[in-house]
Amino acid sequence: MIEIQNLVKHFGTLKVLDGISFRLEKGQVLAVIGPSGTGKSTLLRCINFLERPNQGIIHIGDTQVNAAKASCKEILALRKHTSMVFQNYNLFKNKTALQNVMEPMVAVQGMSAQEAEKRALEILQLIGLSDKRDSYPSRLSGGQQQRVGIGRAMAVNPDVILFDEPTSSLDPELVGEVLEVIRNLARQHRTMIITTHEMNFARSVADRVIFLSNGKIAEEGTPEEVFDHPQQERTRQFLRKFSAN
Amino acid sequence: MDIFQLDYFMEVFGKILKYLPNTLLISLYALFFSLILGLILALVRQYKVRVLSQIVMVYNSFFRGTPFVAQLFMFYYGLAQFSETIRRMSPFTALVVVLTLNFSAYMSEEIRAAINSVDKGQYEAALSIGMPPVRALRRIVIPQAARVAIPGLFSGFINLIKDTSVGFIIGVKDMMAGASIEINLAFRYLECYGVVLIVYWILTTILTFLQSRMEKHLNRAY
Repeated sequence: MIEIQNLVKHFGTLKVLDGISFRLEKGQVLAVIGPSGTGKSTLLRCINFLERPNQGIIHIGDTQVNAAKASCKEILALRKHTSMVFQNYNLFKNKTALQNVMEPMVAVQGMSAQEAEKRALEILQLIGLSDKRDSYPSRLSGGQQQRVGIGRAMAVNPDVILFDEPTSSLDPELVGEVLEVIRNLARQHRTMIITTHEMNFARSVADRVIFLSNGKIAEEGTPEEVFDHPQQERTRQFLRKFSAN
Repeated sequence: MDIFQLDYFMEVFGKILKYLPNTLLISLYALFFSLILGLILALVRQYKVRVLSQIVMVYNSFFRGTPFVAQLFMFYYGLAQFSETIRRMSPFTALVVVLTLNFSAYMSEEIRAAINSVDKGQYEAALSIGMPPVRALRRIVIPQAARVAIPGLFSGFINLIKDTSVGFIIGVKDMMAGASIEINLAFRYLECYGVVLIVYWILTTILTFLQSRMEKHLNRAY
């Protein structure tokens, strides 16, 4: 279970997140949609404190953190409940695909190298990259890198995986393979929060959808509610742009 | 009198070579301390520690922008007027201190540039999987930065070795001092300074060779 209460984030005088609250049950997938620059990425980055929120309460599993007075220890505890898939992959450049997936298990969970390798090989198989185990990120395509990124995020077995526009940097022909891996995770009932511009994907994979506009939740509901019967004019306008294409 | 006496050259070669360990020792001490100080200065600048960061900026500008000999004299003769500690300091120690101050300024810029060259996303990715910040630096950022920094640091080390030769002016017993002693006995400049130059040249050639080997190794990694 993950619960966010009244999350606020300013950059200088600019209010990027203006009191975001939502709740997500274990095993659910939440899609966050909305125009560019509306705070989608900032929302995810605030949940694991890559950006420090100005206020708000973040509650994941048995850890609850008050952003206004979070200590380093609390932030670390929170991060151990989450993992993140980045828009530009951010694979560890000095490590192979296998080592990238092993790294969280070895360096965070303190697993032995042998055990971590065994688990990492299973994960590589799951994402279809067993043959690339010894390749460095520079030798992998964008789609392959992002699949390794997802593998690394799975490795810590987190309570929630945060996907920050996982397909936005990919060539169109590589989007499918990455979405397929995410779909598989959804079928296994992994808890995930995904920011995306892929509306069809959001509709098919998400249990809940949030439409973010100007740092506020403008609309929230099931995919049917948000995509088929949007209540707000702003949501309709936004969705029209996608159906027009 | 012959212009160049080979016998004398060979004889004096051994005598001057005896001072090589001193040159190496000074270089290694100065390298060690300037790396540590350089890393600290780099981190102060990188993480913009208040007030200190500005001081480091002036420090780097001063030590990179003025001649080493003048810095050495200022320290050993100038500041000595005010400081009992410096008056009692051996030339060896004084040279190590000023070399350290000077080279840490260069090293810190190299190190900072190297840390900057590592994409911020690498650090964030390490944090995102739950690594504490120091571990993220140690396991992910510093190994990638080192690869960038090593060639520059190595060139710095070669310059440092050459700069130790200035120390003989304040009385350090290095190869230059050895050559001066022999010159005072036989007045054979060509052979004595010839030895000094050749030994330095061999030394830096070996190091340059090692450097290119190391760079090849580093470039291969990923």
